[in-house]
Amino acid sequence: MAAKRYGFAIDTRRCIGCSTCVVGCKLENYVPDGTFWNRVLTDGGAREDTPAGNYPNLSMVQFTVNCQHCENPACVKVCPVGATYKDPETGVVRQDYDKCIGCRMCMAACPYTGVRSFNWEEPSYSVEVRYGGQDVPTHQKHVVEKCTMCWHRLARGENPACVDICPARARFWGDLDDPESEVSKLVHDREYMQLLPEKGTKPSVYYLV
Amino acid sequence: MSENVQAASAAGAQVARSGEGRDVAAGRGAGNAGRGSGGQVAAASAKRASQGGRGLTVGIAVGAVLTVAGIALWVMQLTGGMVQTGMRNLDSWGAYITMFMFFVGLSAGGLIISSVPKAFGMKGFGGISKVAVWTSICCTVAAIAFVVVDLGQPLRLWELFAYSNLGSPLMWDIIVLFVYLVLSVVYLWAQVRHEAGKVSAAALRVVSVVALVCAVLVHSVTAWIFGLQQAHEFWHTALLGPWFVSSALVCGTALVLVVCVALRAAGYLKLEQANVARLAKMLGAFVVVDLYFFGCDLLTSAFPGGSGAEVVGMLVSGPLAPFFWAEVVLCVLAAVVCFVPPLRKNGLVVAALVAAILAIFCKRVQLLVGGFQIPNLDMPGAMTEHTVTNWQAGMAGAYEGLVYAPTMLEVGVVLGVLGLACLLLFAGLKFLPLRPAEDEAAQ
Amino acid sequence: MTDEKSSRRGLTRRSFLKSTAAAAGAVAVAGAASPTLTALAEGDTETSTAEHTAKCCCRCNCFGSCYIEVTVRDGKAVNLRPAAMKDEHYNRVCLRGLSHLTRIYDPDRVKYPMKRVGERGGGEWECIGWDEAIQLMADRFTEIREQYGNQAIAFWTALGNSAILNGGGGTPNFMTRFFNYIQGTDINASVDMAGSVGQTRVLGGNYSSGLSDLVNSHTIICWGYNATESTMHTWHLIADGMDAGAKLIVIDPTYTKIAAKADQWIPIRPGTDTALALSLMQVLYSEGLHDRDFLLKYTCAPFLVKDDDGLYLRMSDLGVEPSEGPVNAQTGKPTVVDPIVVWDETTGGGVAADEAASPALEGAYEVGGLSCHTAFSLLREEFDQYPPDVAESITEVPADVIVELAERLAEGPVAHLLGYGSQAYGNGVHIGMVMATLPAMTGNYGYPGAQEGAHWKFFSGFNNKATQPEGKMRTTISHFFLSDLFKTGKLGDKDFPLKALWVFSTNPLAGSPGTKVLTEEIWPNFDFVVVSDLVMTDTAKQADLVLPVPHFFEQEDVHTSGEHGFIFWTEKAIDPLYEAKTDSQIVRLLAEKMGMGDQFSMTDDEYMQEALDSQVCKNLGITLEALKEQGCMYDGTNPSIPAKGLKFKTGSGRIEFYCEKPAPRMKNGLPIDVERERLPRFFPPIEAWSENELARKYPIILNSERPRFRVHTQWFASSWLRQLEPDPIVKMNPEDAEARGLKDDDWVEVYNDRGHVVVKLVVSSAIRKGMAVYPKGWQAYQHKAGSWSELLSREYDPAGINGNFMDNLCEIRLWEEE
Repeated sequence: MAAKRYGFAIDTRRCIGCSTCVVGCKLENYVPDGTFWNRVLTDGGAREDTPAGNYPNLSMVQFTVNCQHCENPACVKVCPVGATYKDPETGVVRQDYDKCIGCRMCMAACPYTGVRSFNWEEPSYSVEVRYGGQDVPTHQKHVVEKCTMCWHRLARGENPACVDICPARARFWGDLDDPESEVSKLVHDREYMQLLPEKGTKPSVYYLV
Repeated sequence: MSENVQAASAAGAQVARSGEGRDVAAGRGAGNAGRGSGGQVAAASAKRASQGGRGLTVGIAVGAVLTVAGIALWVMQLTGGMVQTGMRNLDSWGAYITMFMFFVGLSAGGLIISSVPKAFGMKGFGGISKVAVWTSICCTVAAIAFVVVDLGQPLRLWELFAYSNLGSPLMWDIIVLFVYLVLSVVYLWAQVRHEAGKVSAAALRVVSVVALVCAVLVHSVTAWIFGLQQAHEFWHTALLGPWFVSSALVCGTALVLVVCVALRAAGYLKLEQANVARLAKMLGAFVVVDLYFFGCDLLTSAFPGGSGAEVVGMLVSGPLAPFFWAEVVLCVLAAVVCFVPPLRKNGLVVAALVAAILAIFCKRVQLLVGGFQIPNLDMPGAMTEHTVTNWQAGMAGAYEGLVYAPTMLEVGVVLGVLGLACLLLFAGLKFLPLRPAEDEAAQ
Repeated sequence: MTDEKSSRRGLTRRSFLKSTAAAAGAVAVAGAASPTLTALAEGDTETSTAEHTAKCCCRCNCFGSCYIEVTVRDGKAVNLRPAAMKDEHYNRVCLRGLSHLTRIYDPDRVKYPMKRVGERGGGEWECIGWDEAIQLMADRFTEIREQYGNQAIAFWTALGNSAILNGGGGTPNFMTRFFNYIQGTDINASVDMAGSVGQTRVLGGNYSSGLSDLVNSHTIICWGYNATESTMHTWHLIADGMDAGAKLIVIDPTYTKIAAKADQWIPIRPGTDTALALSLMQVLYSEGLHDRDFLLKYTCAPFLVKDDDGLYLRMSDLGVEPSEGPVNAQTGKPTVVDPIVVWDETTGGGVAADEAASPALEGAYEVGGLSCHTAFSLLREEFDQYPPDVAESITEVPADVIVELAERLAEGPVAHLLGYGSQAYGNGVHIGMVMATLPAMTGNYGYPGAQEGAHWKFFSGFNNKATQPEGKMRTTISHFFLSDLFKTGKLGDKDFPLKALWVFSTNPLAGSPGTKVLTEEIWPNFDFVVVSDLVMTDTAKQADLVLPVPHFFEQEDVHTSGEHGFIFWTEKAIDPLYEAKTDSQIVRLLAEKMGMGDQFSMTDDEYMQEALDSQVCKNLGITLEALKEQGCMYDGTNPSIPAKGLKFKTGSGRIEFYCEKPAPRMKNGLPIDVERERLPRFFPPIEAWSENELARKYPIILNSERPRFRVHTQWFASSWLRQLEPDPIVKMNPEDAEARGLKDDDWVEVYNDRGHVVVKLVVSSAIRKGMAVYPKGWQAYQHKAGSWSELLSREYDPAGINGNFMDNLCEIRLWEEE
């Protein structure tokens, strides 16, 4: 099977920063309290949901930021034990919790500060049931975690959870190497920007503007 | 000559082992130590040993207590979670890695001071080489300990050797550190054996060259852990490698000299003031080089007035300003004292040495905390208690002051590792043949 | 891995792009899981446990009525996804829906019936069994009814849960059946009603089209509608409209997220939307852009209004006897046909409206000795007072913007989306009236792309007799009447003691205006208070007995959407936790103990079947069996364009912007000023007006927003949502903050004469100077001091009898902790 290069296109004209993808990711991946793998960031004022400018000349855009699953990932290069690695078949940057020694070098190396989270304490859950996908890898204390692109769902032929639940229908995902995929077409047809392109990590997330 | 040395040192050692301050006869003979004929040397050594002995024992005891306390706190950290530290997702390294950098510097510097003369066949600095190497070894152990206490899963350390990613600068550093540790021990052993006539000067020179290269490499590789990361503009500079080496030379030289001056005052070894002056001048030179690199980096950031201006602002007038200015002032003071002969009186020299060490510590803090102080993605978003140290202040507030500050637990563990280093240092001074050969010869 | 998980559940991304047909190229991984990926699907999982799914409706009063597929594993709800709807436009869910697990498994859920121990509000409770709880209720209710009369048992409900079996609000449910039968008193929540009063006056009901129709609109205007926060599930349909070429215009004092997305944001002075709309009408008319034919044919424009009494001139006034028309299905009596008179320009006299060849649009006429004006002339008198420059001075919207907007209205179909912002002022009824009238100026009704309304509606085709055993009915009052009622002991001129209260599906002591007055002055008049809820809300804390009810997913029911016209069978995904009992179960037990068990003995299914046993449902094929089988069914056409055909449920069947007999929303309130209510008119808000004396002491207009983290006060304790929004905040303009020496993250006290609250400050340029906006829905205990609803006024407009959530003034200062 030909290798794929999965990536996201997120339409910032539609994204309203509602955080449904943030919560949906948490739900699907049984993410512990205090951690979010996906975040909404406001490009505007100094606080969330505040605009730049002076009333009434204002502007505000929301970005959702998860692991950018870079093509040239800084994190993969520096992990001393190879716990973080780029899967050649799908392009997903994966994290092996069992191998991670918790040195957090990847967190220092990743330019997209905040997409990687460390479990600073024993994962705790304010919701007592074991929610989310059954086949989500167990979270461990003192290792680094991040968006897995819902690897466990990809394995079943399903989309990442955040893509399926966006109420604004602003999230698109697919094979960037397949010119016929929705994602490729959007990136081809629409103007887009990327986060921190000057860092040279070649992120696989395209923000349509 | 060598036989006498052997005999004298054997006698001295004997006395030292049996004396431990209880041999009154040896003690009474102390006053004549300096002028010594053979017989009185033994007495003098005994006196020194007994004085040093008591001090060293206390030092060992204190070190041991701190070490045990540190271990207890470390266990607390592992069981209760690293949430008890001040580190968080957006500032994921803190006191431990700062101290790691600092101690690699101290260690590398010490070894360089020791090996350069031998490597280049120059006159040494009065035989303090073994003490310097031992100090360096203790610092290396401390540095490794700091990495270990920073790990989330220290029990998985073995994976570093089973699954090594040889492309990772951290892996390089682990490898180089261990090689360096082994090499330092070999170097020390070679020196001792050389003094015993078992290792030739040529062989020693080879070992010293290798040690020198390794020492330079160790701190360069440590630098590359930061310097190769394009993620943090503040770190990503080619200058970081050379700069770490120059900083290492500053603090390493200062540390070795401080230890030796202290040991001289305690009567453990002899150290001619001329050597002190030479080392002080060298230190001054290293400080100037370090300040030069410092200035280059600052100018390069500031000149274009672009994104580097943020870095400069952070250092000069922002949250890191205290550390920045402390380093500048301490370095200048140290250099001045080192270069101005009338100022190089004993007390001031010690102050200069301590100042140099503190200055480099300030630099480490600037580098580590500074790397996290300027967020790459500064757009505000929801924060939780795991996001950043001062999360309740929001994105803007968390970065207003220092983004990271250590908790008491971290301070405790740091003290524990320092205790371990002291424990090793004092134990080595007490039980290993670290005294300068010249001293022994003079006895 | 089980089969269920490997098949594509829910939706594919492809289906979202309207323009694409079945995708040619592969999207993501093909349906059959790639063997390599499956083999590599790692993670230390136990052997997989069997899972099944249930389709449940989230029915929390945002009107989204999202259909959710709940995954159940080992008897626990573990995962949520949007379930497929018949119309995939409505496949959706939001962060609140996805957070239901934090509510179902909230450790602080009410687990058992709890009886108060000690002082009311003291927080001391005793867990008791259901038997004891029901016996207590039965005894108290019976004894109170005997002593004080049937009306003494009151209930207070809203739409916390809305369905036809359980829950509250407008649907014919079991609780309604109970309260009708015991002839108790319905304390109407009186929220979000003013706009609909105005709309109903003009149109006879709600005629907003399905939002999937927005792709046909030339212009979409959001009037005080913060769709991206309050009803984010509708946003994608608005975005689709924009993608299809519609221009989005947002009219709002605050720069909301939808304002940020809009093509044009029109900042407006709070409470003045009606003046803007009247000015638009003035411009349309003065530039000749109005649709004369539409006005004459489908509105009351040509109707003659008598100058003396303000009623329509009818044929009966001219001596023609009214005749009998077809039988009214609701009342069972024949309709009275007494045509309204218009001036026919052809004949030069007054004729019945439908017979006029060329009715006059404007003018003063004398017919049968009675001097009259056309309704349109009266309307014109109103809007002529608001030419753009005058409107600018009132609304602070520049005159050229007004003119440009008016001209755009005439260019193509417009969708006026009305939010709940503007109706929450004392002048809110008129925004409803003017918004229904404005589109009529350009004939903007009844065809694709053209619509107006607030996007709520309730299916009214149920068999209401199911809730009226023996034809008995409850009495309805508004909670605004309670102060006077308790003071005088009378409603109108009748003695009207109220002694017991049962609160369900609502949280008035957190959400109603003036909670200090409610809690401290009104509440103590009730001798016995029962609250049914999932968690200890502010209201539950003031109860004598708290009853645990199940979560939405723990009970089956029939639910009708407030927005998109589907009716659902909502399944039970898991058993109710702890000792929770549904409303119907509680009522059955209670009725039995009160000696009226026979009226409530039917099963849940039997009751629902009865409620669905109406002609309307029959016509639509809606039966309980059909619903259970299909899951969701339409309640009409889709996308619905209710105004198609241009027949409205007013007396005349036309758009009646002139209301001859305006009535207050309910009886027994303050008397209304009839003349004020007859036409869309602009009046300043009651309190939130800078010209008011009070504004010198309290210069900040206080508005709330309905944030994405809560629906009213539901989800206030959701741990995930609290992680995203940890503290109650208030937002202020930077200039206002600076003038008061306040900065970001300060703890500030917001206060007025009615109460105070302490919250965190967020300085935001999105906020208009002179205003403060707070995300609503927190419980009092979540604040450092006070609570939001304390500050809100209990003054009400007599016509709307509505909560004036936005019509309040306050001041803000740094909080000094004592």
